[in-house]
This record gives sequence, C-alpha cells and structure tokens, in this order.
Amino acid sequence: MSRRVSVVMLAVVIIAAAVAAVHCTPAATLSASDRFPHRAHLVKTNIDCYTCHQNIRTSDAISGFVSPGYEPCKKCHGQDVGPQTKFAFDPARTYSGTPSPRHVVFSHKQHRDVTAGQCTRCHQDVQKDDVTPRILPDMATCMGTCHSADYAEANCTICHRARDLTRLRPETDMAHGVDYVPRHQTDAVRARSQCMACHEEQHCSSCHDTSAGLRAEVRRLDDVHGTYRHEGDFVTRHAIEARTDSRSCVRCHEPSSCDSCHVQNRVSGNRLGASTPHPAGWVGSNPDGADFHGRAARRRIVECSSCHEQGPATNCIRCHKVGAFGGNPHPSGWRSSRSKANTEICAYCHTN
Amino acid sequence: MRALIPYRSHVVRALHCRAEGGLGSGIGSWSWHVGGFAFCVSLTIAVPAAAQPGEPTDDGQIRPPPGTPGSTAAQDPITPPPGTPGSTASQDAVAPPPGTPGSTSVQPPNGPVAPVNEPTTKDSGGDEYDLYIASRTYLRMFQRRYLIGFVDAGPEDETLVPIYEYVSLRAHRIDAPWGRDGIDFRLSGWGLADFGEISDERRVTGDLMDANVTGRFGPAHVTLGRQLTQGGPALVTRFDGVAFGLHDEGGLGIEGYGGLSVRPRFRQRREYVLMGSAAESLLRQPDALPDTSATDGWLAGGRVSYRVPEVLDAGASFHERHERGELDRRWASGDVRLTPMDEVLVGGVGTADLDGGHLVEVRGFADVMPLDALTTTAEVLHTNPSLFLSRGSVLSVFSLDTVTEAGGEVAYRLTPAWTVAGSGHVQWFAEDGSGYRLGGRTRARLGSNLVAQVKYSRVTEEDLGYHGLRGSLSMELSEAWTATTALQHYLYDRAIRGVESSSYGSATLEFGEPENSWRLMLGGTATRSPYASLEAEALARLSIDLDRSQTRDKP
Repeated sequence: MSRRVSVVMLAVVIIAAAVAAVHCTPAATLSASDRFPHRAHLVKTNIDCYTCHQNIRTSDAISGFVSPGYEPCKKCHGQDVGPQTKFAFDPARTYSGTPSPRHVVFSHKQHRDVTAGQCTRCHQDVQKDDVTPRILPDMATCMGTCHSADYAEANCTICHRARDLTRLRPETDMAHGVDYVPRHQTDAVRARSQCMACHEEQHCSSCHDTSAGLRAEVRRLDDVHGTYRHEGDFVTRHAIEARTDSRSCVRCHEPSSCDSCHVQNRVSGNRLGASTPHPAGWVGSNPDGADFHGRAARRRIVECSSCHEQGPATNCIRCHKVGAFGGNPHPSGWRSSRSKANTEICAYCHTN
Repeated sequence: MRALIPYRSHVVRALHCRAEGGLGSGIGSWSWHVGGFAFCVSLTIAVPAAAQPGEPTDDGQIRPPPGTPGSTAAQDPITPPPGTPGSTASQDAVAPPPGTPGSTSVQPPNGPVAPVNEPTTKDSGGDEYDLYIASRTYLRMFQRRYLIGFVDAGPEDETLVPIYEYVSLRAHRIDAPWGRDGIDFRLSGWGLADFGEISDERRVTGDLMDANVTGRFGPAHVTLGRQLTQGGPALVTRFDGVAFGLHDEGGLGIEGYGGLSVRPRFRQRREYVLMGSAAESLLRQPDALPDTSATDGWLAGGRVSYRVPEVLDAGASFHERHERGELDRRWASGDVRLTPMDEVLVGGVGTADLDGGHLVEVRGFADVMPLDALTTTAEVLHTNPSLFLSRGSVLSVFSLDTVTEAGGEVAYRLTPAWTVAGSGHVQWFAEDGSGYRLGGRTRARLGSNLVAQVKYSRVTEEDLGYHGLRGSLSMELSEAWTATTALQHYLYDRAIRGVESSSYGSATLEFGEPENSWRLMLGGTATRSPYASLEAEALARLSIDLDRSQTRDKP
C-alpha cells in the first residue's frame, strides 16, 4: 500500500468520524422549552410526584417506567394538553432512555420507605430549569447519603451487577481517562480494594502475566474502545515501542522471552544458521565509528538483553572483563552493595 | 488459622501433580481440571444454606457479590445510556462521590430532610455470603500467512485450533468461627488444549493463577496461598505464601507478604517465559540460557501507609526478591496522593534501587478539573530502564542511562454524549536523542445504543516512528445482541521490509440475555503488515457467570 493511499485513508476516516460526531449527537441539542416543567409543578403548585407517577410506588423494575404521558395532566389542564397544544412537552427530551438492568440494580419500592416518600431526595435536579437536567440521580447522590459506607467498602454490587462492573468506567475518583493505563499503578498501590471491586486479580494477570495464555487484547476482543499495550499490529510496532519505553517491556517480560520468540520466528542471531542482525562496524577496534555498539548499549541495554541475556555465555563479557580489552563496562556512578567474591555475576568478569 | 494450614499443603501438592502430569487434579473439597473443557467446572465449597424463608429478593434482579467477578474476560465496551448511573459516555451521568472533584450537593426543594437510617448491610440470622463462579472458554482458530524472518524465509501457513479455558471462583463474606464475614476464598486458573496441525505445538497445558483464602479479624486480614502482590516496588508479582494487612480507623495501614516466587510451570511452551519452546533445539547455545526454575526464588515485602479520607494517601513500600540464590531486586518506594481541593489532585511515586543506591524512577502528576467538563493532567517521569533488569543479569551493570519524559493530557466533554481528548509527551535520553508521543481521541454516543471512537497516535524514536489511526464502533443491537468493530491503520516513517503501513480490523457479535448466566461472542480479526501478507483469526468466547450468593435486601 503506497504512502499516498495511506494518507488518503487516514484523512477520510478522520473526516467521516468528525462529521458523524457533529451530526449524530442528539443529546447535545436539548432545549428547555420542550421539556416537562417539573419545577413549576413541584415548587409552584406543590403537588406531589405520585399525582402523575402513580405506579412508581410499587415498581421493582429499573426499566419499564418512562413517562406517565398526558393522561394525568388532564386532571388539572383539561383537554388543553397533548402534542401541538398549549401544554405540550416532549417526553424523550424530558427523560430520554431507561436505565438498562444490565447496568443498574434498583427498586423504587425499596427506596420509597427509606426516603420517606420524598422523591427529590434522589431526583434533586428535577427542581431545576437547566437545559440539560439530571433527571436521574447521579452516584454522588447515592454515595453521599445512604450508601457512603458502601462506597468506602467498594461494595459496588449494591447497585451494579457484578458481571457488568468492568463495563462501567469511573470518570471521577480513579477516573479511567484517555491515558489512564500508563498511570494506573498509582491507584493499584494505594487503593487496591477499590480496584478489586470491579477487577479480580485475573484482570491484572491478563496483561501483566505473560504466562496467562491468551493476550488481553484477544480475550477482550470486543473491548474496541479500550487501550491496550499490544493492540493491533504490535508485531511490527514493538521495536519502536520498546525503544521509547523499554521499562514497560521488562515490567512484565523477562528479556529471555524476547529472544525465544525471535529464535522461533527466525529473526535472532542466536538461531543456528542465522546471521548477525548488527551492521558492519558494530564490534571491532573503532569505538568512534557511527555504528559501534557502545552507544547503543548504554542507551538501550534492555534491548541488548533481549538477545544477550545468557549468563556466563553472554558474549559481552568476552571483551568486557577484568584484564580484557573491552574496558570497564560500568558507567560512571555505578555501584553495588554486593560482594564481588560471593556474587555469581560479578565472578564472570572479576575472576580474581 | 489451624484450618488454613492443610489448605496450603493441598495447593502445593496439586501444583506438583500438575507440573508433572499436566492434567487435571482434585484439590480438597473442590476440584479444578486443567484444560478441562467442561465449561461448568465442578466446584464445590462448603457454604451455609441459601435463602431464608420470608426474605425473597423482590426486584427480581441478581445481586452479585461485592468485589467480584468474571471481570477477566467479558469486556462489553458498550457504556450505559447517558443519564444512567454508571454511564461512561457522560460524566453528567456519573457524578463523583462527595469530596471528589465535580461533586455536587443540592438541597431538596422541601427543605432539609430528616436523616434516615443507614441501610443495614447485615441482618441477624443466617449467613450472608457471596459466591461467584466465572468461566471463559475461548475457541481460537487462526490461519496466517507469514512473510517473516530473514530475506530467504518463504511464506508459511499455519492453522491452529487451541481451546483456552479460564475459570475463577470467589466466595466472600463467609462466616467464620471467629466472626461474621471472616473468610474470603479465591480460586482461578487457566488451561489450554491445542489440536493444531503443527506437531510441536500440540499440547495440553495450563496453570493455577490464584488459590488463596483470606481470614478477616476485625481490622486485620491474613491471606494464605497463591496470590498476587502489586503496585510500588513489587510491580506485579505472583507468589505462594502469606500476606497480612492491618488498617486502623485512624488511617494507618500496615501490610506485609512473603513466600516463594511463582513462575510458569510449563515455561517451555511458547506462551511462557521462554517462548521459544519449539525452537530450543535451534539455539546456538541452549544450555547457556539462564535457569528459570520455578522453585528457587523467594520474595518478601511490605508497605506502611497513611490515609486521610478524600485528602491524602501516602505510603512507603519495600520489595526484595531473590532468584537462583542471588539478589534479583531490592527496591523501596514512596508514594503520595493529595487532594488539596475538589478540583485538584496531585501525586507522585518514587522508587529506588537499594542495592546500588540508584533512582529507578520518579513520577509526578497533577490532575486539575477547572470545569466539570474539563479535565487536565500534567506529568513528569524520570526513569532508568536498566534498573528494571534483574540484578542477576550481567547486562544490568552496563548502563545507568536515564530517560526523562514530560507531558500531559486534556479531556473535554463537549456535550453529555461527546468527549474529546488529547495528550502529548516528550522524551529526552541522557545519552542523547529524543522522541515524543502524541495522541488524540474523540468518543461519542450516537443515539441511544451506538458508541463511536476515533483515536490518533504518533510515536517517534530516534530511528523510526509511526502514525496510528484507530476507529471503533460498538452497538447494542438489542438487550441481548451487541456488535463491535474496529479498524486500525499504521503508517511508518520509513518502509519496513519494503512495506510502509499495516492494517488491522476486528469484528465481534455477542449474544446474551441480561437474565441469563451465559453469553456467547463470535469474533474475527484480519491483519496485513510488513511481516504478514495476511493474518486472519476467528475466535469464539463462551462466558458463564454463576451467582450463588445469599444476600438480603439492601435498599
């Protein structure tokens, strides 16, 4: 595929996505005018919620309730209610959508007694004339009153089904934002119980444990909006990623795992019959050469270890040992508390 | 505690059995079959009787266990509709808990309301417990055509048909002789059976990932068995041993752990540490590879922390690990997370190598939410990658070069259903050279059941870089059907093996009624890259989540 075609493809996808996003976001166009005026009814006329929402007292289901329609309105407004009349409203704009039982476990019936029948304890924003009102209570409403202990104990399954927890991403406390994956370690160490509320330990293992069979990207093939280290064509990109962030590689992978894969796929100099991947001048008597290995070794020693991690058979120490011509390999400031005499790797070079 | 000791011995015995035979084994009163293809694995645990008369769940919904479950696999990217608690498409829907940035507090219209009693989480009478069993079974078939390796390597076709099985069991809040909710129990593992055409990959294998029991004694807990320790200097480490913790109400926490390092038992297989199993005979010096025996390492560590709720988290950690009789890592770490005001969060982590007295890495970050819809983050990282190598590696003595990275991200919610975000980071290498990473993302809920996302990324290093573009769609076709698709395209700064770009596509279709305990997903991927003229893969995933909890009504 030519570079020009690739650039055109990129541009087309970006433009198409932008157009779709601009034109297909109905929630962005809410206006106050066609919403039902909850505030006017609640505050000014002082009627109670049950006047219209009659069946909510006994409802156990999270779904199935949207709007009482125009019928209750007729008690006060007569026939002057309905679409295209004086008292018209759009139920879809007043309250669009019904929470799915896949996401929230809730019973109005159970909460009726706890809230003493005062719906606005939870539905606080129905009294506002906001353009985009929060008809549904947010988590802060629940957590700040009755369920504060549940939040502290990460007892999420009071309201959410356990199986759905990983589908719901935090957006405030421990917000799983656009660049959360590289930063999640700070939360993992300080608030492990909060992590474990949604993720069991296998969730950590699926990325961090290279022995756990399928890669996380494969196991979660349907998580198309998620961020993964090895997503897409990682085979081609991995050399670039490793050079920009080699420490991320060795957090999970032992360097020897690199070479075993390279050997298997015929791209390792350690394979029988293979030729060295290094350029001419990589080793030799000219350390000032452009391709001499010294600079690369200092900067990318983790990359070196992906092939040369072979203990006493490492070819590095053929030259870099006490008395050999490779010189002292230790960088300035290098030190260790270990004894040269009693440490195996020291003895490779410090033979005396 | 006396009852826990035999448990550990059973686990160890089972592991040895599996290491030798590689097939299923029974463990005490419960059994787990490695590579067992019976999707509903026979799992038995002694728990008290179920429902109490007169206390039905009246909402007809399953109330699963706290802190559960099958979160390992089934990741449904579909987010709840805007306006739904838990929605990820809209911060309008999921407001923060009090005390976190963005939290709000509004008085009811009828004035202050008399406080109501905190909901009762436990009732007198029989035991309440959470028991959750999850199974994920993957049938993976793929056929790929290689153009890989050195120039003289020709194309290859491979067809493999492996079956992967992941099972987990969690039983929480089981009453113990020393108190209510005194015991938690976890078990998880995976198995693989491969019936492929390539003889050296035909295998049955697997491993035990977690098998531990936790006893809770007031503010203290003790966990015994196979477990993970994670975060700070421990990174993510699995071990067989004991861990304990004590968290008092004043905010002080003390944790410790120790045991034998766990490495994959079947490491000669290619997914394991030494992935080149099939090719070991192809190595020039296979005997020179370091010994990765699974039984000769040990580790220990601990953490002291202090917490002021919603204001401060601070801690200091230590981790030491030995392998093959030599020091592998001796690290100490400190971390702090401060919320000086609702809109600001600052924090940092620093890790030092105590063996050499070197700084391994320091990371600082600040999150600021100047508006409800706007989140900004700035961060700085200074790290020494060579120190992540084992101290037992010869190469660990060759370099101390550092990398410094600085950058940030901004995320703005244009509407309740539309978010845009961008990030950028610059790197400086101490030796010389630099690089950068840029990223952008827009995500929108289109209508009530469609979520779309477009991401762009740009990564460069000294020699090479790439542009990446990723578009993804997920759609709830109905309550039972969910479909996703993703396309990724990478454009490299220079040709690799004569090819300048690579492309990847995936699609999935999942079925699962909300009230059912199982879901089935079918998916496939196709890749074209400098290393493969075509790599196509098909995957089926069966997810089973069984909830056998006994929980009372909790309004």
